[in-house]
Amino acid sequence: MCQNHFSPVRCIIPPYINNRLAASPDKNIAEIAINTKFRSYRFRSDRTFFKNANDIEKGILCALPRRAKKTETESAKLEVYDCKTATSLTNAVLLWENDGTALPADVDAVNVINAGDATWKFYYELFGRNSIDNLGMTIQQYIHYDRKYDNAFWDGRRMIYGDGDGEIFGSFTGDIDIIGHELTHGVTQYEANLEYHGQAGAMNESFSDIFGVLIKQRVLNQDAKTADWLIGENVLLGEQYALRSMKAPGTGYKNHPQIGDDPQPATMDEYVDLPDTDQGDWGGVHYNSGITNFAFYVTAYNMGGFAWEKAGQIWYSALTDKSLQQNATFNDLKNLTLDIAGELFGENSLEVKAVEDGWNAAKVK
Amino acid sequence: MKINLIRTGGFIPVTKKAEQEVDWSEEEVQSLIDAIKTGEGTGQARDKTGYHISYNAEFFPIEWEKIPVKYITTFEELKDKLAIVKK
Repeated sequence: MCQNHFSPVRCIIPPYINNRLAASPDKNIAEIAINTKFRSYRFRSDRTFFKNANDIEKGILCALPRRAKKTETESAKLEVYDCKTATSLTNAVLLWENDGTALPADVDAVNVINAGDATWKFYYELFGRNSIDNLGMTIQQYIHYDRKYDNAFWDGRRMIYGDGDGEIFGSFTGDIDIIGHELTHGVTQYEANLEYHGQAGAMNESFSDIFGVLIKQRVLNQDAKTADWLIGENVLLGEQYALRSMKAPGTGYKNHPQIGDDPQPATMDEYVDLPDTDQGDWGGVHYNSGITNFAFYVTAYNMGGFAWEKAGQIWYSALTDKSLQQNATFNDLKNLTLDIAGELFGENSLEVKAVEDGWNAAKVK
Repeated sequence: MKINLIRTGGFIPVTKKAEQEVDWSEEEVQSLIDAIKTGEGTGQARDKTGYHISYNAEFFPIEWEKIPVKYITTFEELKDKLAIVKK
């Protein structure tokens, strides 16, 4: 199953098929299917357990990140391809794969290898998720795309990074949060698969920003109160600039001589209504993500400690919750995160209050 | 006549534009547009940039890979000249 990791659709296996595969006489197929079934149920089981746990149990278990037991067979599978400044991915050259080969000399390659590995570990060690599709998909990253290309993107099955123009933008491999952001678009695709326009699209962007920044904070061992909550501070050249700020949306860059001011709103009353077109950023998905980013930041700050431990766990639960529809609204996510926080930490817990305060700060009613 | 290449989208939404004089006939341009225009939509791509040409006050999303060899040099030159449209 999932032989062709270039075709994500083929990897979505209904439970009834997975159950049949689990009973397969072929030991390899059965093993994969049973692992898939285990991971699918694990998160829901955790939530049921926490719902019924007493305060002492919650106090002990919620204070630390829950680490999955790592087996010998599960580890990140990474491949890095060099586009050699062309735009053809088909003609890109395999530069490195983690089969024991020494790290390449190419700085961009090393950046995406380290960030790809950190991202895989983040999802696996905290949430038991095995790669983008939760089936051990190989993480393929393409560097040196196009000439002076000032962007990075997820194309539906792999990540692609440009070198930047060297004047306004540096290499898009320069920030781990950007790499984590792009990889998380893949996770979202395999989970809630939020539509890429309007509020659902803004949440799609926001989940990528949130987990991108958490991956950075975990690597740097930063807690919620000391982290800078900036995204792309190396990519946008100039010490005073970053591409986005989750702590203060709209302040990532100010008076930039070329790109002006960061247009992100922090609150719902400043929601930006744009056309649902390419030119309108599909209804402002990169604008209005500032609102849900800010709700998450306030939540995590008020909870204290490492943001991935509690706030991150709640948001990951929401992203993987079957009730989060593809066309969900900010209000849907607010209600879902409140429900999950109540299930995990207790309905009258400080964690629920922190989530509520987060959404109130972002003025999502 | 003048032809404009516009790039939109990306990790932060920035619009870039370039203009170039070309000696193409009206029919030739129309035929080119018909050959390279594409529908709007991102599929499963996220943060990706898209190219468009504007001609006669109309705006056409295009697929770069479909540009015929005869025109690729012009489009590559336009791409190299893309400059950020300041807001």
